[in-house]
Amino acid sequence: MSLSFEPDEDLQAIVEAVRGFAEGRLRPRLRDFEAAGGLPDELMQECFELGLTTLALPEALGGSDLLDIRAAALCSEELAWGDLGAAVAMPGPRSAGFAALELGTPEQQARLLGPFTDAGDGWRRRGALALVEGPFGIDPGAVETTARREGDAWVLRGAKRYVQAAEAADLTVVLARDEASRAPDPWDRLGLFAVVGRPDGLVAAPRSKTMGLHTARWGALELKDVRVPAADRLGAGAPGELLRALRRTVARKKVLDAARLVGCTRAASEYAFKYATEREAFGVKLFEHQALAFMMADMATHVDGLRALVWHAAWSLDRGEDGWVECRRAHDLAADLAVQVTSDAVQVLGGHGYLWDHPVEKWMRDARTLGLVDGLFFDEGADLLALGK
Amino acid sequence: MAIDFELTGKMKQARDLAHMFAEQFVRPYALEADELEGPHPRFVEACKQFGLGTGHAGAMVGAGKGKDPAEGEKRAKEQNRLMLLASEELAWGDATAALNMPGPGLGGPPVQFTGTPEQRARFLGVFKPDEYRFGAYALTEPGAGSDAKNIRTTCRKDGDHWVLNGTKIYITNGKKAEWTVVFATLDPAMGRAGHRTFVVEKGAPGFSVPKVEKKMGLKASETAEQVFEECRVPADNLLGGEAHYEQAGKGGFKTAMKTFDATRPLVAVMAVGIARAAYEIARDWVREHYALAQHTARYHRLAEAVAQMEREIHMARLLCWKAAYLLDMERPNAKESSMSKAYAGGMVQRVTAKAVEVLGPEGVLQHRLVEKLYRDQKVYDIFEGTGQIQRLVISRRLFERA
Repeated sequence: MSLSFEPDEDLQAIVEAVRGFAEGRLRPRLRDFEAAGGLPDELMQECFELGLTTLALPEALGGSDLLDIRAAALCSEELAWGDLGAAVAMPGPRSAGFAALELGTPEQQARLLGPFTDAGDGWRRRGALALVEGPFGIDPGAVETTARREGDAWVLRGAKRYVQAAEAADLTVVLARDEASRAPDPWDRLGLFAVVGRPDGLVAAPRSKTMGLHTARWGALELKDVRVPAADRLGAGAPGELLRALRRTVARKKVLDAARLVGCTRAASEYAFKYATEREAFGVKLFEHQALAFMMADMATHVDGLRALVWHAAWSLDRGEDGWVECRRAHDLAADLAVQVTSDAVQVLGGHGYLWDHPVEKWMRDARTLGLVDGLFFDEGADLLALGK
Repeated sequence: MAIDFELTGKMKQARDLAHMFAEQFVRPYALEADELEGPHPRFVEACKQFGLGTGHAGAMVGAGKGKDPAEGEKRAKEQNRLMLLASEELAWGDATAALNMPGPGLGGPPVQFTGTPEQRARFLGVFKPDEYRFGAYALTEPGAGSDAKNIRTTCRKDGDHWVLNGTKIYITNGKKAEWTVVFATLDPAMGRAGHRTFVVEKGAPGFSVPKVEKKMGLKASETAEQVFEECRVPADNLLGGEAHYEQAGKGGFKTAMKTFDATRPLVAVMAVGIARAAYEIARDWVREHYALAQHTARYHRLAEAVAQMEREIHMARLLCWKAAYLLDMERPNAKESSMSKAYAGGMVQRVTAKAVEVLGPEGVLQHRLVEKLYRDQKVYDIFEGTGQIQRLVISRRLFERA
C-alpha cells in the first residue's frame, strides 16, 4: 500500500450503500427536515439500524472495526451529499464519543457509550461536547467553568456556548477547570467530565436560530452546581494528557465536518453542472459559456482537492497521530472553499438559485454555518510558527 | 488498494535523495545561477558525479536499473509518483534545477511512449550517466501556443528524408539539446490527423537556433527559439514510424496530449516545491522577527497568511499525487492532471506573493531568495498549458456527455 487514492472494495460497497440511502431518504426531504428543525423519529431509527449513528466507534461500542476514520469520512461525505442538515443532525455519541474514546478507560467507554447501542432507545440518544465559552475558541487560562471536588463527586459550575444538542443530549462531556489544580501548564488544570442524562442544574437555553443547519440545534448550556460522580471524570490528569486527547477529539470532529463540507460542495456543484446542461442562454447551453465553464472547472477542482485533504487528514488519525495540523488544515480550507463553491453554485443558477425552488441557496447557508458554528477556533498560524512543521 | 498516504521505501528514497541533492548542490547556488543565467558549474559537476545524466527523475529514482525484473516492474508501476516526489524536492532547491537536470527532459515521454524500440535505443542512448546532455521538446510556435492543433511547421517527405519548415519558440534547452522532439504538420488543413512528430538532431542541415530568450524568472534555464529552413531529417526519425500514424487517427496530437497527462502534474508539483520554499522562508522570517512582537496585529495577520499558504500547498500537492496515481494505474487522468496544474499554478502565485509581502521591503531585494521565487513561479501558470487551458480541459471533461 502506498500513496493511493482508492477505497478498498468492501469500503466502496459500504459507501455506495450510504450514497443510496442519502439519495433515496435524505435528498428528497431536505426541506422538510429544515422546516421541522430536526430529523423525524423513523429516519433516526433507520440511521441507527444502518449503523450510521455509531460510525468511527470500535466494534465493541457499536461501530465496526472495518470502519476507521477514513471510512467514517467517506460515509459522512455521502450523507452530507444527501443533506448536510441531516448529516450534522444525526443522533449518536458524536464528538462526546470521541472524547470518551480518547480519554476514557474501557470501563468508562462501555458505561458511557453502551446506551447508544441499546436496541430500545439507542436510536434517539445524542452526545454533546461542551468545550467553548466565548466566540474565540479555547484559551486554557481563561476557562471559567470550574470543577470542585466534593466527596466522591465533582461539582461543575459555569456556562458553555455553541453546544450542539445542548437541550437534548443524553451524554454531555464538559471541559472544566479543576479548582484545586496548581499544575504549571494551564491545559493540565483542565479536565473533561461526563455528565450523564439530565441531572439537576444542567440548564439548556432555548436553541439559537442559525443561518443554516436548522436541523442541528446549537445552544448555550448552563451548569449550576451539576454533580458528576468522580468515576465520570475522563482521564487521570497526567501532564499533557488532556491537551493530546482534546486535540485528537477536535481533530476527529474537524475532519468529519470537513468531509461533510466536501459532500455539500459536491452536491452543490453537481446540481449546478446539471443545470448548466439544461438551461440555455443566448442560444447555447450555459456550460458552453466559457465564463461559467471556467467557474465550474474550479468548483470541481476544489471538491477533488478538498476530498484528498480530508482523506490525508483521516489517514493521519488512523495511524495514531494527533492529526492536529492535518485535520484543521482540511477543515479550514474546506470551510473557505465550501463557501466559494456553494456560492458559485447559486451563481450558476442565477435568480433561480436564490429561491427556495432549488436547494443551492440552502447549501450555501448550511456550508457557511458548519464552518463556524462550533466556535472551535485555534490559531493555526501560531501553531505552525511554534511547531516547526 | 486503500486510501493510503504512506510512502513506499522506494518513494521515501526518491524523495530523500532528491532532497539531499537539492539541499547540497542546488539551493546553495540558486541565486548565483540566476545571475549567471545558466546552470552553476558546481551543480553541473554534481550531476555528472552522481551519474544523473540519463534523466533527472529517472536517475534519481533508479528507473531502468536493478537486476530483478519483478522489482523493475513494480517500480514502473509507481514511476509517476516517484518522479513527482523527486521533482518537488528539486524545485524546492531551485525551480531551474529540474529543467537543468541532464537527460531527455520533456522529449523523453514522447520517445518513450511513441518511439519504436530502435528509436528509443538510439535517442535515449545518447544520455550517459556522467555526461551533461539534454533532449528538448518543441510544440509551441509564434502562432500556436496551447492551441497545438494549429501548428504551422510543415513536414514533407522527400525520398528517404523528411523536410521541415517553420519556427518553434519557448523551447527549454533548445540550444544545447542533442535532439529535439518536433511537432509538425503535413498540411494545416488536415487538422490533427496531419500531425507528425520528429526527432531533429543537433546540427541537422537547415536547423538553427537564432535566439536565447531573456526572461522574468527561471533565468538559469535556457529558453530558445528554433528555426527549421528546409531542414532535412532522416525518415528513421519520424517518431513511431509511418505505421504509428496510420493506426492512430489523431496522429501526433495524441502524442502531445499523452505527454501532457504525464507532464502537467510534474510541472504542477514543481510549483508546489517553489511554494514550499517560499512558505518556509516566510514562516522562518515571522518566527525570527516577531518573537517579541506577538501582541501586534501584524504578527497575527502574518501568522494567518502562513497558515493559509500551508493549506493551499498541501491541497495542490495532493491533487498532483492523485493525478500521478491514476497515471501509474494506467487510468485516464486528463481531468485530474489539468486540475493539479490549474490549482498549483494559481496557488504558487498567491503563496510567493504573500511570502514576499511577509518579508516587507526585504522581500523585493534581489539577494533574497523569495524575490527570485516570485519571478520564477509565474510561468507555472503558463507553460504546459495556461491556467485557462487547464480549465478548458477540465470543463470539457465535466460536460463531455452533455
